[in-house]
Amino acid sequence: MHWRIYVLSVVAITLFVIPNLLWGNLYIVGGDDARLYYLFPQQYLKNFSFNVMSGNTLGGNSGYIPVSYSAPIITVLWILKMLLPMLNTQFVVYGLIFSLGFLFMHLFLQELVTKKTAFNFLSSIVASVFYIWSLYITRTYFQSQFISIFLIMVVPGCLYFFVSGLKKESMPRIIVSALLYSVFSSTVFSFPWFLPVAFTLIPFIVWLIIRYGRYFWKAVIVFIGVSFFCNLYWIIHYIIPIFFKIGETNFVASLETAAFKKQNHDLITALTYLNPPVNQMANFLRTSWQDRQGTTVIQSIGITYLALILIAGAALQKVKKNMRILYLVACANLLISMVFVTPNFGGWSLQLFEFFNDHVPFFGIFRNMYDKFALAMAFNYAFSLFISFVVFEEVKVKSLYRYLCLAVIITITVGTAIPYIHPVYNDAYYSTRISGQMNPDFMHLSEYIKQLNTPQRFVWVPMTFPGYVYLSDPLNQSHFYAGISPLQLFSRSSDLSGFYGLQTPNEPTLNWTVLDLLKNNKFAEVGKIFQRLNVGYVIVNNDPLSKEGLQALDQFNFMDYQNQEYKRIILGRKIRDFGTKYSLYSINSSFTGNTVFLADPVTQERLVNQSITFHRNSDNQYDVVLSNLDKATKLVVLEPFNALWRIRLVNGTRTQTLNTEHSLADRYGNSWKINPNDIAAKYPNFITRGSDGSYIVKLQIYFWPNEFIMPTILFSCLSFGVAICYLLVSIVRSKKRKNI
Amino acid sequence: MKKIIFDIIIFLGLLAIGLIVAIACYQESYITTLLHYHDGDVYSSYSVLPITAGTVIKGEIRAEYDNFASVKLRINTFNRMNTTHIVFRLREKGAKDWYAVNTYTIDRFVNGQLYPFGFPTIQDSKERVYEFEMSSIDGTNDNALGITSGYHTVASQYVFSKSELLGNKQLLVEFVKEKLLSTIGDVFSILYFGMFAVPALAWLASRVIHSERHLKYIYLALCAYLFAVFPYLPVDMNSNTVLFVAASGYFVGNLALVSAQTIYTVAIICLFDIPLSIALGNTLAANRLSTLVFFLITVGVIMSFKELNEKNPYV
Repeated sequence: MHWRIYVLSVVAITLFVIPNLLWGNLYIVGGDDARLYYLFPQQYLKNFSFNVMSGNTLGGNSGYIPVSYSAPIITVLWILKMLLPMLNTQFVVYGLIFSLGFLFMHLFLQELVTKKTAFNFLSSIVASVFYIWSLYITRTYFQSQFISIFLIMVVPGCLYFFVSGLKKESMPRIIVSALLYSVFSSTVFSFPWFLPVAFTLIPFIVWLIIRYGRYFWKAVIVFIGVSFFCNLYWIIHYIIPIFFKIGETNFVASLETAAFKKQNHDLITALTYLNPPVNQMANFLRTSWQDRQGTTVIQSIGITYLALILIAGAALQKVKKNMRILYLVACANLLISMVFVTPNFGGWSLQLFEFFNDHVPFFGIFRNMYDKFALAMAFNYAFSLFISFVVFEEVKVKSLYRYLCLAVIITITVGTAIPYIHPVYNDAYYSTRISGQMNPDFMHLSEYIKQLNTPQRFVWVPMTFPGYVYLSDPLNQSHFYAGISPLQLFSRSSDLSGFYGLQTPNEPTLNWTVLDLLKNNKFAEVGKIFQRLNVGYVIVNNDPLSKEGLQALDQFNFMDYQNQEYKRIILGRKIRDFGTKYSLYSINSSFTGNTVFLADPVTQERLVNQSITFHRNSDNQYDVVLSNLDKATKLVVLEPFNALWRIRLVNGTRTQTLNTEHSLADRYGNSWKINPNDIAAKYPNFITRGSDGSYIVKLQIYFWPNEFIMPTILFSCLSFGVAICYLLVSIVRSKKRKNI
Repeated sequence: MKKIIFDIIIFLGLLAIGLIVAIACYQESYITTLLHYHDGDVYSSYSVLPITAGTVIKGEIRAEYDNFASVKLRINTFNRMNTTHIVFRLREKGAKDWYAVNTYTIDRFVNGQLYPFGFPTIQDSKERVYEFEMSSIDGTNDNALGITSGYHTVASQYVFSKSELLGNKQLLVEFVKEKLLSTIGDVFSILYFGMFAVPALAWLASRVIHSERHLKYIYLALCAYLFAVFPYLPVDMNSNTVLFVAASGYFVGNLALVSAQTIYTVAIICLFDIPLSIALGNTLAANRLSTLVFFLITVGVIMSFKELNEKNPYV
């Protein structure tokens, strides 16, 4: 084997092994992303990923935000989990991400140069290691570990296949690039990190356009086409709200409100104080206000990277035009990244960022830019560094100096990354690293709730401020899963777990209202809100939490306010204890209500005589039978309001869409006006009359976008299959050509 | 003759632009204010250490003019973000009660700059002596700011209203006279305004001096002045001042016909100056140098793009 293969293999294997050997054996879970897909991918796919409805966030009420975009990654994780059940899937995956990220970056950089010398080879290895261990990666992705961590591998991978496809005029490579992006990027979720990379690469893209002309545009069309068809299963849910009124301020629309944009100004300005301009020069990033220390002399050793890039610039006149252009393109990418990673190069840069925030649609998602542009910074620094090394070789800098530069860069890179390569965990009092199992009491609780098969929601006592539940690890004391509620994953039931889960699209400040009510001991009012939100059950979490745990979960004393008196008022009949940790109660009878009920069309009050039966099936579809109907009434369904909930009349296997007034019920649910006389006049086959003269009508209430789930999944799978077949045929053909 | 007039117009034009930008960017003392540095022994109780809870800094200032509105003290953040609170008090010497008591959250205090501790304007302040105190509510050794002592570390500021000045001719003349004297007589002001004269001076040199060698030295001196004064002068200037500095550098560079190579070299020198500044505790300079490096790279990249079309003697 060639020595280069050995070197590449050693570095790639080292990167793969590091998280598996040095990051401990516990799963790092919790937070806004839960990260439980490493542990329970099957449950994600079964109960969550395709559970499209008008309120499908974990532990909350964010409206119609389908999350099926992460299904391909979770499927890969599921396969991995089945193949390697004994290993820590999370760290195996991280190892793969680092290792493949390194390899793809190396291959991408090698695509940019024609001379494949030993120095070039080692330079791209050093630059690629720098990319993986840059502080811009270690201080963001290594910390948050959102599912977008896959981008570390996807960005250079896509670029490698795309650029090599352009160079070799090979469409299969362009398709591989699109498939890699579709399967591993978790698309929508990773947009806030992926788009900044694309934005800062504009000079490079312009260079590609100039260099490859028409073929570039062909490749772009193929890339977008393949990506679109393979991702149609989730894209459809983002297209529907554009063409159909959904009647809710969904999350995406909330990003475009004037209030949101104005709010961003304060954050953007504040963040220019978090990172002074020295940090961009010294390749350093501060990510927390808790970290109060300014850049130190030791940290400023990071200027070595930029110094080398500038030394190459000073020697630029002595290299060929192509390489000069590439150097300038890389520098332009880097300069754009520097401005946007924190707009601190003068008032103009802040104003520019604010201008973009105000006028470029959805630019507000980059408001915490130090995190969103971090990947772009790491990538562009590595890119510029590699091109600078190539310049050194072209201008014939003595080998000794060149290799010395490589040694210095790799030493600094490894030196600064050591705390992240081998992290020291402070786990004594409170930790969010768990063994890989949920505690058995919680699993029993989930199983019981699954059996209940109720359309009503569950509320946790106590609810936490971040909206997280805390579930103790069965094997490690003071270790908790603390993140968004996983109840839906295990039981397919919806729950409210905290402050941020209380707001609804129609009442975005409901969480603050509840906080005020709790603060003022108005617990009955809170109970009424729960009734409106279709809460039928209460889960009491009896697990004790340490001071450190409370510090993380009890801001504004939100948990403290949920005292014994609150429990006395909210809790109803005890249903069961689950070990010592959890108790399940029905909600106090004063706040009991049904998910589907009849209300007076004028006063909106619940009717005393409810001649109604209903059943919710696994597709979130309600089969409702109304009897004793003698006058117009309102049918209320306590699912988060969305205009895409539809109603139809049923007679055996025949259905008929019912066009009737659909409105918001009590600021939360859906209500339809049901007039039996109208129905009898218009659709006599769908209504029956009883002996007493009253009517009986069978209805189905369904969430319309659900009807697209299976067809679009099939279409996307088919597109993926066609793309794979095309690739296989291309491989076979090219082999045949080689043999001839 | 026409050429001379043209050159003079350009020179005066550049000077005027420089002056306007300089005044617009000068945040240490706005156009209707007078600034007076107190370089004598101001403090009666002082420590270079962080002002922790229980520590009190005391000092006395003799007001130079009427309309006393703020005391400016040069801040040392110890190269960190401090999140505690300080209290600033001021009263006329001998008075029993404090005239002003203000509490400040110190997280956005800039290291190395004068911070204005303001209070309601005292109209008949001239010649009167005021004492001030600064103490911390919750400062600890690793979370508190300090006060720097030495040259130009304490100043008093006097604010005149525009309408008052325009309505009183005598006051206006007096104010303008004092403003000019305080500006001309102050080293920091001269250094600051000098930066903005660089393009005009470079233009003048290019017209008057004919020896290429001498010209190069002059351009070099002007650029060195620009790139040394901008980061190291601890004067509060608008953050966009760097745009003028970069444009001036580009202008002088063009006159001197320097290549992008020179720009990158200057950027390297500035870059290596950053850790030095940090080591000396001058984070203000380190940050301004960083901004300068960013612009030098930008200028370097632009010039390199322009040079792409030139014939390359090396390849």
